[in-house]
Amino acid sequence: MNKTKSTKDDERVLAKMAHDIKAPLSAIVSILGVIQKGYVNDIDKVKELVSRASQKAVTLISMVDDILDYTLLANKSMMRREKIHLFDVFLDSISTMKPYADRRNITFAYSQELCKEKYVNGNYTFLLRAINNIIMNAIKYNKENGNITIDCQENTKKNTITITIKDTGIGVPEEDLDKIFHVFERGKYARKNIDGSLGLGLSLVKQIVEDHYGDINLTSTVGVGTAVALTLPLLKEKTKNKEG
Amino acid sequence: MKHKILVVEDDIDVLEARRVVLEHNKYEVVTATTIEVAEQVLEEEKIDLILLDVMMEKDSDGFNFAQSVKHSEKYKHIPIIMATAVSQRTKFKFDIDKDGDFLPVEKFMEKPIDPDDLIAAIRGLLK
Repeated sequence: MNKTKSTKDDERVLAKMAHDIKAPLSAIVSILGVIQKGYVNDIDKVKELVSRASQKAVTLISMVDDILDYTLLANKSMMRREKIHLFDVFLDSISTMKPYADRRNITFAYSQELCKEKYVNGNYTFLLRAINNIIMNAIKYNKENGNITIDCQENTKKNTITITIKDTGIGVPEEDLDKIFHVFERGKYARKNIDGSLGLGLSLVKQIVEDHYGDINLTSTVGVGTAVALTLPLLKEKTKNKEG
Repeated sequence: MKHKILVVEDDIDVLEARRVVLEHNKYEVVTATTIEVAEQVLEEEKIDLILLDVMMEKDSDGFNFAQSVKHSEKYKHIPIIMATAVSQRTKFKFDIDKDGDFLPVEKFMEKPIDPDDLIAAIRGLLK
């Protein structure tokens, strides 16, 4: 019996996932094995190795979170919607991501009025996840001492808002632009898995944005930077607090 | 004189774990996180054994490196232990008797490698 394309895709995703999860697990076993078998006695070295194993475990948790979110998104009925103030989402995201940006001396530039009094009908957790993922990419693939600019532009005719997150990073080659929203795909220059993530990040963002009846657009220049623009329908005044 | 082992592994944490075990057993350790660095080390230093992770950035990197070492008159005497996570992914089990011609390395070890087993394997090859 011939396998359908989706079955093959599922198998490919599962095989990739299993491999990506096995790598840090295998590293943890290797590192702890060294301590367990008494190959190191110096307490500082033991602490260093435990810290390395612990970091791998954190990576694994992040991978499992990605998988859980991806699974959850597959079942749209589980997505509870409410009136979301986009300003709150950004403040929350920037405060979460700032410590990661600080480590690479990357600065944020945005207006204090960023998306203030702009509301969408959506799910706070997932919108936050989408913004976090975009900002995390802008940090990971940025240059040291780089910038991240965040901007909100309202289109009153269409009653939409476009949020643009722009970095000064490595960029995505043109031939990779189509692939970058696919599960497990990374751009040519981002192919080295620097953070141990599964590569689900932008495919999750795309799915979240589409589930909010929005669009995502990515423009990039290699060596100059990448801009990700999310366009979301604004909540109409008369439909405030609508549950969907 | 201490034996010098080249460890080729792209995960810096696993690399450190290997270094601790090998140095504890009085081996001199040289490390490489890429095949390019490994090739450079081979040219510059006298290496007694290579511990090679086969799943580098591209699946084929480790295999190609092992092939090039074994096809080189200068380096083919250096024993290679290949650390693989391939069998679970591909259901392809390496067998040194059957696959030795295809890929003439001295030993395959499935990751994660038990440190005691690794030392026993190295001692066996450096007798």
